[in-house]
Amino acid sequence: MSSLNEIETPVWGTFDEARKHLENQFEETVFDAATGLSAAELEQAVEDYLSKISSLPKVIQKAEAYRIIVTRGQIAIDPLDWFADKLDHGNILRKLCGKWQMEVETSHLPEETEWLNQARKIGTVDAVLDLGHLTPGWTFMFENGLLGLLANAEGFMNALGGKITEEQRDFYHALEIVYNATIEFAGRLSRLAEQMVPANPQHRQRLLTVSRALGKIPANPPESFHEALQFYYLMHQLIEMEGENIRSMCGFDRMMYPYYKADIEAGRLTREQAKELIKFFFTKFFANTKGRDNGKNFYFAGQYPDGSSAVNELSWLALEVYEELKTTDPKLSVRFFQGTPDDFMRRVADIIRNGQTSFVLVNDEAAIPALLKRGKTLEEARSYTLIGCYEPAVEGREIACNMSIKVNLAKGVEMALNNGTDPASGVRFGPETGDPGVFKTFDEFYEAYLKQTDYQIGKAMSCIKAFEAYWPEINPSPLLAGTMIDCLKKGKDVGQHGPEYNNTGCMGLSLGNAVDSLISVKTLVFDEKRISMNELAEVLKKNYEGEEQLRQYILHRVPKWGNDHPEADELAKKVTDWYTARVNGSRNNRGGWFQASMFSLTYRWSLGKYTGALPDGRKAGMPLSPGLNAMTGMDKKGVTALVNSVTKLDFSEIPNGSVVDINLHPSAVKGTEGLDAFVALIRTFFAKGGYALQFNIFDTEMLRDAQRDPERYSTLQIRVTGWNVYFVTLSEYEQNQFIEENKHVF
Amino acid sequence: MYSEQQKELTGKIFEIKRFSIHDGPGIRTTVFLKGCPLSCKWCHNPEGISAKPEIAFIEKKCAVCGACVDACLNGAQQIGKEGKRLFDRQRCAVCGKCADACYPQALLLYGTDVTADHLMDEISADIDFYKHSGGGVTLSGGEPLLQAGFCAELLKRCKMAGIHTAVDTSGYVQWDAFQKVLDHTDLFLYDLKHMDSEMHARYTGVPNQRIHDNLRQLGFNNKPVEIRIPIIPGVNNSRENICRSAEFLCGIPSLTAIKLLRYHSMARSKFAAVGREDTMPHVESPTEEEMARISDWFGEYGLTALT
Repeated sequence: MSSLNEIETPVWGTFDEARKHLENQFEETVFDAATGLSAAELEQAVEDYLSKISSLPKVIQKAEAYRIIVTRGQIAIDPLDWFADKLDHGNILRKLCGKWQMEVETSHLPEETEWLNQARKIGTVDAVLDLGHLTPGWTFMFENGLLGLLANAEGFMNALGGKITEEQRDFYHALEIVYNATIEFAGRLSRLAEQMVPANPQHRQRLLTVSRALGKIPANPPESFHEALQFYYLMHQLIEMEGENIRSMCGFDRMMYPYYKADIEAGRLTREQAKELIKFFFTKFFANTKGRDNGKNFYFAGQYPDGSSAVNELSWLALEVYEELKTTDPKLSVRFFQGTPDDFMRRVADIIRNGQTSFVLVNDEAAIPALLKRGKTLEEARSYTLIGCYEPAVEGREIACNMSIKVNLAKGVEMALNNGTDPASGVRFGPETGDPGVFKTFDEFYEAYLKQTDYQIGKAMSCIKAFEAYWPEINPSPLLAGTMIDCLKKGKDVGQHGPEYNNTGCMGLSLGNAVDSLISVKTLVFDEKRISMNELAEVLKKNYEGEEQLRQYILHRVPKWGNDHPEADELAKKVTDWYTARVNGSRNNRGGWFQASMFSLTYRWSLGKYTGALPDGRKAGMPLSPGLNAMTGMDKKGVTALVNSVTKLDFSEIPNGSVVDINLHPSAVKGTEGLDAFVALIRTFFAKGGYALQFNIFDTEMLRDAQRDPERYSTLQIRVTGWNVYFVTLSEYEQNQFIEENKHVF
Repeated sequence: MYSEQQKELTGKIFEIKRFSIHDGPGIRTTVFLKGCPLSCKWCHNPEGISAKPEIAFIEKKCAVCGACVDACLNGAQQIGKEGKRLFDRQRCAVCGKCADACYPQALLLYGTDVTADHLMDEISADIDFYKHSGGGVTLSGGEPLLQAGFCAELLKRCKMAGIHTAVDTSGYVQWDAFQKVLDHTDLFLYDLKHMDSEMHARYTGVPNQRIHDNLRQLGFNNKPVEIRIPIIPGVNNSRENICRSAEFLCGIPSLTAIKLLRYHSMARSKFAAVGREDTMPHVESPTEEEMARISDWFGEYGLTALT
């Protein structure tokens, strides 16, 4: 084992100086031609080889392509970096996956492809074969090393004996190819690091540490903290290169702690040195995204399978690093339950209120019952990982494809109002649910709404099921599959029902607009008879032109979701219960189930663009309501009322996750009492059974936006020393003054 | 006409604010009661000064739709030349019909009668938040104790429901009023604006003797009191005034905290909205250094003043 204490002093304390360089590490890498083939040559080599073996199964083709890339591509080592991982792979495998997907689309599933494209443009649903929301079996991988995984595979293969199928044999063969190639790749990096020592004497100790580590891992399990982090990043990078997006780096603190603890106890590493290694490690994730999009997610805290708190010294240390880095990536999810230390929640809240809002706080007490209902064991449920943003899954045993289908819940109102035709395009895209003008009761309209929504969900599911059948043809994933014990046991890839749990996410977005629009129809057309159904449909077609009075009435006088209003909340629960039952009761085509989630991400923009004016006062093309929140600007009763509304929903039936955005101004969370209130707010949400929270601490830019568009920000409160005011009611001069004064907080 | 008891069950308020976090401990719901015996030049709730209902007009929210013009029976709401909205307060009977017709909420009626039971519905909605934060209800204003009977009824209900109660008062009421709420109030938030009675009268409209007497009485009665001092440069930030304040506060045994509030002219637009002459002093907010210095002066007396 390498002992980091042998290392001379200059190699430590170098992070700050190297930071800028490290943040650009993926753009600025210089590859040496002597180390292998250039990306273009590599692509040619892969193409030539694949043309020779085109009759072999896709999984073998993929494995061979992978082998060529990692064993023959150009590599590089950065002497300033504690971790080696650079390979000029030219995205060849991703392109291959795209090519194979295209083949399936055109030759096997042209109708499904066409419908999905059309649905996206009409705005009812956005659905894809989601290869990108998954997590490898990290723990299994760390515990066994790749040689251990291969040994496991061999054992399971032998156990199958004469019953082994051709397909299984191919899978095991592909595993052998990719794992041996990966071990060879690490060896190449290790040798290169060593060769670079003479030319970089000042970095000698770091290069030798890297070289030693890669001479051992990932073939063998890591033993030191440095080796574990090197293993972690290397496998992340290679699995991503294979064609999947790893959307969960799993539990950083619980997985890395044993290595950290061993080093500290043996005196091989100091706390400060560990911090520096984490900085180098975390910075790779920022360097990947530059804070733009799709950051990687780690989770922290929560509980162990036995129900005890998983907060350890490394949880605190990582937060300290994160705070010092003032970064947006990686994204941190923090799991809480009754056994989480109070001061840990306080620490997290403190970092968030200081403006580092790239956190999601998740409630174990809501997640675990939802997972249990989906057939997971108590131990599995207690150690769930978070994929992507808020989606819980069992690490190493589940491929949850969390983001497969995204359903625009509000669009059904528009479709019901127009008897199944999309008014903007004139395309008939739903069933004929009858001329709404002759509906006698709101219940008839509600039925029509459900039928329209049900139809879109059903169509999207059947399309995705058709694609799921072709997963092995599109994206064989032997490198990923080998990390999951059930795949090894069954001899099946992740796309062939290999894992124990094979689910498919189906997200409902724009709950706020759906509920508010339904209530508007009920109130305006049936209760108050202020307007007829046909007149309402006309008003919406004209995007409220000349009807601002009516729109203002709707915005300010008709009940809205998210305000603790009994009628709106009851309807929201009814719609949600219907939706989750519809989704959770449906089988997918990978031996699992569809699973409901309730959030929105950027789909509230992309699908909102194609959603016409709605009866809730929202104009055509505007963004839809975010997450489980009230429509933007409609949470008139403030955050406590929002929480009261949201926590009336049944989170145990939302197994694929949900989120509520909480918007606060820095002045509202200032000082000790501000932090107290902030923590109490989180605690109350969790105690009431809420699932996940994320926060916006309003900044200058948002306040400027609020000046330009006061309607959207009508409920934004700011705190001026002892009192609150609504930001938009201040004069422009006062607003400017406030923004100026609070600049230092942002 | 209301019977005496009905009267005490009905109060006039101008706002309810949930998730209020600077009006006493924890997360609170603050009920603002209408009417105040003081008229502080820096008042941050000028819509709470008059005991009578008022119409506020927030021009920037006005869509100039004319709904208020149609709704007003007295011709107080008009649209003038070039679409300029005019509000003639002389003609306004404060009936609230215009506010009722104004969907964008550019016109608001401040001062509505509510019953204690009705308020309890809204207050109880956030009981979980009070529980987890050590919060509760704060009655503020205006001067809540001008409606002491109503306050007592409301506070009594809160206590019955296990909710922490606070009263945010100027102190300028008869001791009788305090007596009505004393048993149902866990904490008084008490303003101390100036130690010099003449200066006090010049800036708030009333002398300070009664305020000081009542504060001493609260001390005698051992009721927890949190003192709040708005620091207005050029008015009450002198060392002399602060030291006199500190000396005085040393004699209040039930003091729980002293909070110094930085003056801010942020409420200026509210004066315009209710058609009041803007009296906010044209001075800069005190700097953080100045606030710290003032806090140190309290420290000389063994008192802790939070900024």
